Amino acid sequence: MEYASFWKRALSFIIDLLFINVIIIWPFEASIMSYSIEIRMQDFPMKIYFIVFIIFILSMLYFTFFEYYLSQSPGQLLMKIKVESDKDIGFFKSLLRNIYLLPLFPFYLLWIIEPLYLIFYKERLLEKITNTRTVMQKSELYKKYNLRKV
Amino acid sequence: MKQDNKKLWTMFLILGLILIVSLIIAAFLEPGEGIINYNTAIIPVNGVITVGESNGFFDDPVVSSTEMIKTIEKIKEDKKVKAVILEINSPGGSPVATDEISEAVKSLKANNITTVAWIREVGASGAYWIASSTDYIVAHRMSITGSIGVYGSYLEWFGLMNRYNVTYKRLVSGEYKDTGTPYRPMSYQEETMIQKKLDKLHEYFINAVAENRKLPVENVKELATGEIFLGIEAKEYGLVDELGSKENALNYIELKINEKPLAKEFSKEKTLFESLMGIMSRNSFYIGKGISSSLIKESTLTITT
Repeated sequence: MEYASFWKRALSFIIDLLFINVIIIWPFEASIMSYSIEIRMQDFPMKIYFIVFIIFILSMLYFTFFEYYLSQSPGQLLMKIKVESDKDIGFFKSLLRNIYLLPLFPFYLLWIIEPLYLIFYKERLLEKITNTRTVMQKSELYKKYNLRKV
Repeated sequence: MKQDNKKLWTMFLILGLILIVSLIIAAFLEPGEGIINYNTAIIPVNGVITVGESNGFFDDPVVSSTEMIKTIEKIKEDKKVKAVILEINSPGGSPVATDEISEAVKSLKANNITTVAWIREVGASGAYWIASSTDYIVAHRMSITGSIGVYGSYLEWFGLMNRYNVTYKRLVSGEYKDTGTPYRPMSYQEETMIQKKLDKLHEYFINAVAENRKLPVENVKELATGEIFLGIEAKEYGLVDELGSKENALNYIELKINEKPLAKEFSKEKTLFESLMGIMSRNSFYIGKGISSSLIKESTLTITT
């Protein structure tokens, strides 16, 4: 087992954001644009916040479902990294791993804590709590250490 | 290999499912009534009036005549729009940009579109010129308006330069080519020449206001000292038609178009990224404002109304 590097994780996250942009944000584009036109007209900001809330919830479910069913998101698949745990990653664990995407206080704070924790400890705080890890795929390890499958 | 295929299919399935859920939720979020059945366009005139454009996301807002004309052209093509409200909060700016916007606003009248200026905090100088080209002006009683005048003042640095033994080597072909440079004192002839041009612009301004407001030129000349007027004073002098707010503007429009005005804001189209960034920066601004105001409140004397 080898922890996935910070840059691989960052890149995989960016790739996932591109997927999220297409499948989650794009359907709401018309609503966001139309409400943001009238954002200064008092009655609409709540609706905008509601849309943003939905987008974050769906993004959280995006990571949760992929990690629960496949142990990796599309971004992680492309960067050849995956999530693992000593036991099976249950749905609750996957959800808890991604709770930082919940747009409510105090979860906002995790947007700062998680990357900092990752830089210093090679894993996120929520990974520590859920006893899960983001590691390099076996095939990558073989490649890195010039090993062959027997 | 088989397992990889299965993984890919599961991935597509999850992506598809999330997309479907997003589409279903988005379909339930109908845009507001004003967005669909609008008959009134609101154009924000917020910031210094210029022919250029705002450079970046964090810049101060500017009123670009280029963008404003595009917006007005779009409104003219939109058959739903029967009235336009110019929501003004601007101290004025470039005379050329002002005149361009003023002409574009007048062209709305030619398309049978009722135009109303709603002066909020400031609608002075060039912004008042633009307001005067509408059919009706509503201003808050405490707003700042008027300031019918032109200025071209600037800082001269040659005194400071002399002090540090920095000299200006004048190399020009054409006597007045470097008029207005801050590195040397302006000559009497140059000053007279520039003053004449400012007076000419002032005259254009006065004539435009007199013509737009259907006031005698002499009356406007008396008011055109560059003095700012509060909304309530401007009403006395006939520079605005009514004191009030957006409601008053909408009431006037209702009378003119004989239907309930439903307003939609027309401004430079934002990209999705700009819209989302707008929401985020608004949040950050209020978080910062919360922290800073609690500090400032305690440490400085603030006079507010």
